[in-house]
Amino acid sequence: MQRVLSFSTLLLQLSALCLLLWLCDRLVAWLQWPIPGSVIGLLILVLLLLTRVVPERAVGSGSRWLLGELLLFFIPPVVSVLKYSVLIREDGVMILLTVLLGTIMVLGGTAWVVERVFRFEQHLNEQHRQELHHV
Amino acid sequence: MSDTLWALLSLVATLGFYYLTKFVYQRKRVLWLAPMLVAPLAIIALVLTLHIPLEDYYLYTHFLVMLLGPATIAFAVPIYQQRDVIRRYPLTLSIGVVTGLVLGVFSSWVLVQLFPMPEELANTMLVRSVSQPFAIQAVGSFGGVPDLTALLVVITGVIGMMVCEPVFKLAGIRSALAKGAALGAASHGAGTAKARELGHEEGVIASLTMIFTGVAMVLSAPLFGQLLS
Repeated sequence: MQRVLSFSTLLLQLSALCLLLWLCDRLVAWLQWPIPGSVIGLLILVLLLLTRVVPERAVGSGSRWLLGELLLFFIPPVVSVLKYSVLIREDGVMILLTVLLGTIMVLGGTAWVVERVFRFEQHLNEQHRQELHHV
Repeated sequence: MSDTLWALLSLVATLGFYYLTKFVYQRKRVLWLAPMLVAPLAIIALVLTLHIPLEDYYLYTHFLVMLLGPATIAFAVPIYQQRDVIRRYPLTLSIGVVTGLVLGVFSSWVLVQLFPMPEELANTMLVRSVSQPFAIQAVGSFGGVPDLTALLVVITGVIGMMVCEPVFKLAGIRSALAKGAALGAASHGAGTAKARELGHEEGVIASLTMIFTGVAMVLSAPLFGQLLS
């Protein structure tokens, strides 16, 4: 019984998220915005959660399932690379090299910048705490 | 065999390989068994050996891909859950997101100028550093192809997991926030999984950075597209 109940909760929450997506897609099409409805939906749901119009548990299990199985949803797009099999065979080494060097640059660069900003922000937070202490 | 049978087999095989590789990976955590790598490879091998026409493969499996839309909306929940972390480090997070996004696009742009490759491939490279649902949404603005996006994003994730530790050591990175932000910005979901192995704080920062970088990518894609074309 418990399982049936949690399964129907999951289905209900998934349908609600799909409905929100559908509404946002309509809105974006109507306003002719260049932004996809899914991202507008994300921002709207954050607002609804923050203002407590929607409680977290109303979307909790649905979102946990979607994010937990995210990998499943993009297996077919990875398979569609077969349409480009010639390109992969010819440029495979270039692809790997570009992704490898690019990823090292993003990892190293972002970490280096954030390490410095973090120390500065920690310093700010510390100062703020001391000011509160003195007052 | 008829189209519907191929389509049905494709759906069952996709679900089957996914849950099987996930089950194995939960017991044996080695990179070479990661479902994001093994499941697509197994299905590609199956499609090739049985000569399943790609249209038949997509007939039912494209319903799985449609779930990337609601999954994007679902990212709202972790943002809400981690709102205290966002309030504590607004500057660190936003600078991490902007740095990661800009470095992600421009590093790829510079590299594809150095290594000549077909234009559609080069354009697709520019979105490879963000999470799958966002990358697929943004790729059109760059003149890239959705059919190549998913693969490049997966390769980026795997490579990020492999190289992060030596890169952090070389760059002298010690703080959990820097490691988390870099992993989330450079290798999205796979990077976030790796960050969780490094520590709780690393994982939280990585997941927030991944989501925000993805959103920022989709929102700024039309602008980037104009800038780089």
